[in-house]
Amino acid sequence: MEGAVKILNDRGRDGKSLAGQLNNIVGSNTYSISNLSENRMRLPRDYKYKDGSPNEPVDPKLIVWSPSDRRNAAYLQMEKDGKHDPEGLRKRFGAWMTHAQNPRFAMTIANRMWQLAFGVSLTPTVHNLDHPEDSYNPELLRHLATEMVRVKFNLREFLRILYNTRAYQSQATTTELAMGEPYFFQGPILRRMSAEQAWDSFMTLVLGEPDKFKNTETDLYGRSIEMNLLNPRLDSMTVLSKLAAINNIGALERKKVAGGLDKAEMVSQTKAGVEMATTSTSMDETGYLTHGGMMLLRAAELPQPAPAGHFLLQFGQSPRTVVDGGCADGTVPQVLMMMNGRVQEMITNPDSLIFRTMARVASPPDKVEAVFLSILNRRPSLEEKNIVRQELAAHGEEAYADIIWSLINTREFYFVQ
Amino acid sequence: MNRSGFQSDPVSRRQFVLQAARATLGVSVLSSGVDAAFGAAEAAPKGVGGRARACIYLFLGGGLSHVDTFDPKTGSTKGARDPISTNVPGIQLGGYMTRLAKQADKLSIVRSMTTTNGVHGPASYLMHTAYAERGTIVHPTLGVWAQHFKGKSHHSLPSSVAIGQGTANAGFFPFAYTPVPISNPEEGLQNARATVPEDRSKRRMNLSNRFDAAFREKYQSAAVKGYTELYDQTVQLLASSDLDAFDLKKESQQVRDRYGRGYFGQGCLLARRLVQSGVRFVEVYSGGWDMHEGLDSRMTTRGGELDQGMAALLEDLKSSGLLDSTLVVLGTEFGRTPDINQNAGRDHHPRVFSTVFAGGGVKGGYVHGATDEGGRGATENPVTVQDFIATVGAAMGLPVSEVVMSPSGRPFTVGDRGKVVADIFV
Repeated sequence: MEGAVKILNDRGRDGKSLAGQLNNIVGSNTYSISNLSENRMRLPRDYKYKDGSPNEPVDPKLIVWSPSDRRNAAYLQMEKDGKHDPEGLRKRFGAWMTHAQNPRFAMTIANRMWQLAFGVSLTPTVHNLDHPEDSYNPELLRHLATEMVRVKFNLREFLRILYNTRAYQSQATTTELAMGEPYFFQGPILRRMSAEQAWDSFMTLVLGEPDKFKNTETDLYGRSIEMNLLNPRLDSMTVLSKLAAINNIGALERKKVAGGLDKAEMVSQTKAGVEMATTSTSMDETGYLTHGGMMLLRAAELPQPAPAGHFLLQFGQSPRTVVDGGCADGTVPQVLMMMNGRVQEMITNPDSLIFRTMARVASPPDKVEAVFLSILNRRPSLEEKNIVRQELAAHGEEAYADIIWSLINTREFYFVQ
Repeated sequence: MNRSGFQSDPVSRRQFVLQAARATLGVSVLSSGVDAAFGAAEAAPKGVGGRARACIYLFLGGGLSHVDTFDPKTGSTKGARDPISTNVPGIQLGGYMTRLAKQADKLSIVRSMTTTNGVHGPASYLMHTAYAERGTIVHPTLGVWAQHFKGKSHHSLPSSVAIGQGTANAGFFPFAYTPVPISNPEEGLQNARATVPEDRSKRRMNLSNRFDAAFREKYQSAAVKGYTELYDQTVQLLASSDLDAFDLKKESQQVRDRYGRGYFGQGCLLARRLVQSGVRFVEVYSGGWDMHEGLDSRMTTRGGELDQGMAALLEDLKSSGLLDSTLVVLGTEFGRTPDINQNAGRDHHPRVFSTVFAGGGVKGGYVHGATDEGGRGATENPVTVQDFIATVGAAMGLPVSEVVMSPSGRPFTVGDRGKVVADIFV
């Protein structure tokens, strides 16, 4: 640290003012997991349940749901080795938890995947699987757990099975479930898109093929800052090179930006192997586009959680402070964002891909059909065609942006059928 | 998050009566748009609080130096400025608080605050929720608690607003209770202005409703209807003069100058406008109080902004008659070390610090608790963070001893069973 400050000073930089940053770099490398020789875990001082007394030390113990669990392979391997090797204990606990024979692991992930597909889990709450017999359909729950093991936890394969069931293929229902009332899965439940689904829908509307755009720099900060403090050869210059690397991240990220909305199609085609007409907007395999300060990438490619005020957070993305923190409720600021925010401005912008898709067809009815298919994934009804005709007659070209805005603000767009 | 646990929450008796009255009368019984539940429950008995219909929480991120502001000392720990007299005999303030010194008769100063955390993030979380930060749950802040117990404070305006970097999440309560964030007071409510002219904006909304008619007819679920109501509400808000509450341009230059032109001063002014329009809880966040070095010059600027903004706020609330029903609370993460460090600053001091209450049924010209000669520790009536949050809750008429179960089945109370400092209530 001091050496680094001195070098900066010698080079005419104000070492002291950069000391804070240097401190952060060194400090963030000092975290590590260390094992304690004693177990300090105790019950709370005001513990009131009957199975223990306040302040009582707690020994590590595996949860058991039925007496037969102890003979289960997951438990047997856990008990094989001694209890007094903390490093090994942590690893074995991980192995027990994710063991295919663990009585709840496969069942939990199967239930969660079912909830993802159908909008409702097979149990009253996805958080509690203590009593699978309380499930709406215990046989189905057990069968799904077995299937999850059979497909070796391949979630894509598991979802393929779910999506091909008759239950999933049935029309969405709007059944209102009263507390404790079972649902028999006559079909998936009508539900609002998750924040990520909504954002990805918009990305598809502006990028065409959003999966072609990747953010390969997500761990750039981590890689830039990492150094081994235990390395005896670590010197001031290494610390300084880290400082330079971190200060360069911004520039590196800017280099990855390949352009704005109007480049979407071009980039998309280039990546698909089609010769690009102009080479003025060359970009490498890892580039992405931006609009109004937003990185145009799928939600999964963006920094987590999204920065304050971002579409994703406003739409209910989990702030990642707790498990299952995401939500599908509405708020006034969220509606204001859909009506007047940057995303609607981007979609109704003439540079947006949807306008260029429209430009490929000549007749107004074909253009409108393209808009409906892009946003609602269906053709306009006769009545809607009439409405559109009147709008176009009265307001000319600007009616197209109005129609796009109107469609992304419908419940039909918000909700998954 | 699974929030289904709340569907079974019993509607409070008061809300039930109100809803029944509405259903029978067909109209809201109040013309101003302020919901009846906004008010304090009943005229509270002496010494138990409950008089604050609204609350403005001024939160200073980084840790306010108590010795230089609300707990001034004359001995070896004194900072660059001498303590000054106030309009209340026997109460002195730090030398940077010149305007507030003229309003000490409105303040209840708690000098014996103590916290268990000296790290910024967790300490700030604690001072907002009364609970330690956990990986398994997010605890609600006071405005959100108030909405749980009392419902919405206004038919179209939000019940809670967070100005600056104030806490804007609903904890384990429904997402709809999330305080509305205002990042810059000058800009007001985000996305409130349409990107196209008004008539075109109306045309778009009308068009959207027509395209959506068939879908809404087919799927009449609560969620779909809820969204449609939310759109109607938002359109109403945009068309109504209620939105002016967010617009500082409606204030004269002179008034705006009086609060100070920085974020904090303008935040205080916005908070006053919001509260007077029917918003129940407003947090005004101010950063930059982590004065490890050069404390005197930073207190001169930052402290000056605090003094000016808070003084103007109290003045205006007093003259409009709102101070009796509006609680203004000043809170921070922790105190700062009484001994000045080698960089002419002060470091983190969780052992003791000060908070300030004004209006909303608290005594004026009053000091609760005291510290030793140097300001290092409390010598009488220590007040924990839990006590502090419970006291603000009680001032707002919230049932602080009522246990509320989170959707995950855990019990929580306003202030985590803290003891209400009833001493400060009139």
